[in-house]
Amino acid sequence: MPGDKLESLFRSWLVEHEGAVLKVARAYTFTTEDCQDLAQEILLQVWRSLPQFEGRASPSTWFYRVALNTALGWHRNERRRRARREAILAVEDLPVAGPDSARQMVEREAVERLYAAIRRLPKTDAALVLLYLDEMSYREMAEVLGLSEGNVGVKLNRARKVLGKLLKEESHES
Amino acid sequence: MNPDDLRATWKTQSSQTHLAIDTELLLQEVRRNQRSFAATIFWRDVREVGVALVLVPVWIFLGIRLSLPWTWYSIIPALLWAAGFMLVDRRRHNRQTPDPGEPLRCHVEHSLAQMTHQIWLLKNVFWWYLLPLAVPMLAFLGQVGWNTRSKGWSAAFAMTFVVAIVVTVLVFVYWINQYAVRNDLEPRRQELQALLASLKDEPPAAD
Repeated sequence: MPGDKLESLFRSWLVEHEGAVLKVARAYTFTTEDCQDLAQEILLQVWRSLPQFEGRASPSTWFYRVALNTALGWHRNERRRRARREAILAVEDLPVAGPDSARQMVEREAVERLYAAIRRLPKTDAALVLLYLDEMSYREMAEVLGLSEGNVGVKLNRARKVLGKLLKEESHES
Repeated sequence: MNPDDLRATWKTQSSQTHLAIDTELLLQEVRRNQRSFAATIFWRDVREVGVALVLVPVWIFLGIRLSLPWTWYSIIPALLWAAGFMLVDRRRHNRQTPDPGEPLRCHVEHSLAQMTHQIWLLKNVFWWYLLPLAVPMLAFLGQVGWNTRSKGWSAAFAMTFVVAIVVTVLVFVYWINQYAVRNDLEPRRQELQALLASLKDEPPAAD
């Protein structure tokens, strides 16, 4: 694929799949700074891997693969090596306003509790739960993780049970 | 909270949080990153292989110029062996570099294979790097020591000092490699093994 075509594909996918990058980065980090750093690393990996994309998987499956593979191999101490890197992205909380602000605050807290519970899951269970919450089918989850569909079901059932327990703990603590 | 509630909660976050990306800056960064990545690979090869190859003519020149004994030249095959070994190993294993776009399980398997190989390489650094260099180096120093044995204690002391420095450097290189295995690579391998184990097939749980 020529360079300019690659660049325009990268730009359009950035808009479409920004949400997946943010969700994975938030699920595997504890601070906003780490989250931004991991999101940036995921996007760099996407760029590096883009020439190898053959279209056998759908773009959303492929994006999740790159994001999860990067997140699972990412270490917080790698930040030191990238300390001088320019900040090219930021996680922004959209302002809560209007008549629905109370409901939005409650939802925001619920999402935070959900992330807190996901971070306490084993790494692969966290990946499964992320895909499940994004309403991916068993087949798509199997494609992202490299598992059989049957095995996805088994692992997801268990992960959901653990997530439920963790959420109960989170709500008791808060 | 039931699964539908969870998914509904999850959906709300797109209206709460957003990733603000400076696309132009990001593209500049990815281009810079790609150049720096290529440069890092190039300079790593130059450092590991080029230095050994540059040393060969220098070695021959010094040997002729200073009329050094034949054992001086025995280091040349050792340098060529070390450079060749690294080059062949790099080429063989570069082909197996994991692609982040492959399924998680394949990626972990590839990363684990690469990590295991890296550990093997560093654990065996004595056999493929240090020993082939140490034998000709010590043979040369031994021969020089033997030839200067008539010069008395000061020559013997100087030779012992040089041998001690060479041995210290070799021990240090060995230690630093084993330190990297213990503190960096082994924990990472264990992490990958645990990750892979969690991705293996498992029987359905009894409810």
